[in-house]
Amino acid sequence: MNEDAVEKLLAEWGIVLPAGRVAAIAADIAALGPRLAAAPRPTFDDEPASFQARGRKASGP
Amino acid sequence: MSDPALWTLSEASAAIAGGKISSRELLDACLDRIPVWQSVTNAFIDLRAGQARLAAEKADREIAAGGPRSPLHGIPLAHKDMFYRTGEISTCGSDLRREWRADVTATVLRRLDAAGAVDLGTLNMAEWAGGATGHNIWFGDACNPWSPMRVTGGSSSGPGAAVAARMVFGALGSDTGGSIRLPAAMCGVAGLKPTWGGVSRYGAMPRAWSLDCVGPLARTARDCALLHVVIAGPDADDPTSLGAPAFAVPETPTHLRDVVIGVEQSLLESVSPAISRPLDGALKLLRALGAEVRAVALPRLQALLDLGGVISATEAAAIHLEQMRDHPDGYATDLLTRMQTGLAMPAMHYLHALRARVGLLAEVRASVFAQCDALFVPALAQPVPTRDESRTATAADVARIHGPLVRLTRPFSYLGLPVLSLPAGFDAAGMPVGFQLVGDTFTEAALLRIGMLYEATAGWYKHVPGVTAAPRQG
Repeated sequence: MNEDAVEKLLAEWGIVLPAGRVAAIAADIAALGPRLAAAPRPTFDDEPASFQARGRKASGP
Repeated sequence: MSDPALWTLSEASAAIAGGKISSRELLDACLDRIPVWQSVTNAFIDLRAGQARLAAEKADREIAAGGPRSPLHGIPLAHKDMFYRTGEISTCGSDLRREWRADVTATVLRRLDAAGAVDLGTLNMAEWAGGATGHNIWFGDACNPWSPMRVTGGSSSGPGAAVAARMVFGALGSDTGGSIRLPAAMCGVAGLKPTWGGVSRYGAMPRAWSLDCVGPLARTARDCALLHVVIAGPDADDPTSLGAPAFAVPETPTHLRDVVIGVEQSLLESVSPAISRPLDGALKLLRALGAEVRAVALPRLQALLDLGGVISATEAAAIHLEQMRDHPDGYATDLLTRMQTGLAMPAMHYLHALRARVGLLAEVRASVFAQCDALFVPALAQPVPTRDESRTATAADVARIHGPLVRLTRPFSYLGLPVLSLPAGFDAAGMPVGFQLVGDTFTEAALLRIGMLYEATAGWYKHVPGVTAAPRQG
């Protein structure tokens, strides 16, 4: 996400920030991209609401 | 008789049940300590002594008529200033809510009221529960009772300080990325972050609803259990509360020979040498009590941190959008700039973070909890920082200072797991050092059982900060 995109998105929320701050937000989000790409992808069936259920029965020493 | 304010909640409860002390006498013991310790710690935002006296006298009448109706009957408590009570101000640590009055009462407060607990007032916190240190530019920093030049940890800063300074017997806090565990560790008390969904969040200020948990800070694990048993359980007013197995306060075991404690060696090795000795001592004691200590691998720590951060930033931004737009001057600059980042978070990042925890939790269960009952993790990897060195002015400061503080706590918030934070002793500077026992979903009783024997043997809860601490500055 580049600075223009961030600026437009924030404007949709009614928020106007100095250029330096917009650039910092864009940089923060850009830096997240590779880190999240390295994280495991959810599977096709994974739904947020069920996150505590899977595998629970199998736990315990 | 020793100063009743120095008793644990369990001891105070037993004394009330045995007719050895009244609720009013317990409250007076707390009120005797509060002026001195408030000047040191700034733990209270609003001390409500008058209504607490009335509540204590009512409790005494009820106890005289029919005995205590719960272990909390007549016990003075106070809570982080984010649990709403109808008609009362809840500041949430923010200038924007200095005069804001709630129109509902939090389920956890209703449950404590029903148990007969005495509410002594509201406690300091990081602004909007958005900080790991306890700094607050609007209400003043909460300061650590062991050294007021050092932070309490946050965001439940007032609860950590008030419980450690023996101003109250216990307090409710909230934990989104470490906000119960860090103050507990830095102030030398016990704290329980329950399983996500195990305690109602109705009437509690939201920080990030997919991560937020409400739980107790108290002097011991047993005290935490006495508080948790009252507040835990499903709530029709909170549709995200879960129908967990009923929690019962466990008995203190005589040994831990039936317990396996997992250790991720790289996490232990990542801590500062300044705090490694107390942590090694705690592990050695658990082993001496009979626990098997087994090496395990905690997978993907960095992913757990990053994904938890995405959820926290995005949900906080969504909650605060209108206020940030309309009242930007009502926020501390560092908090505002940090939350603005969440406004531009791509939806796919956020949804990835929510969905990925299904598989990541299953992975952690397979590699950790298939082999052990609890995972031993330091609460933080460094000594308790000073208030000056951890002050933040920009988003970059926050990343540099708060990032390392939550490195060992946020991953377990992301996974929604229960975690008990306990004291491990003190470092060479005399500051508390703490560790976490992390369990699988809804294993609070197992964690508390381990903690209860550990603390009874270690005895760290008997150490009380001295009044020689220098007065608070700033």
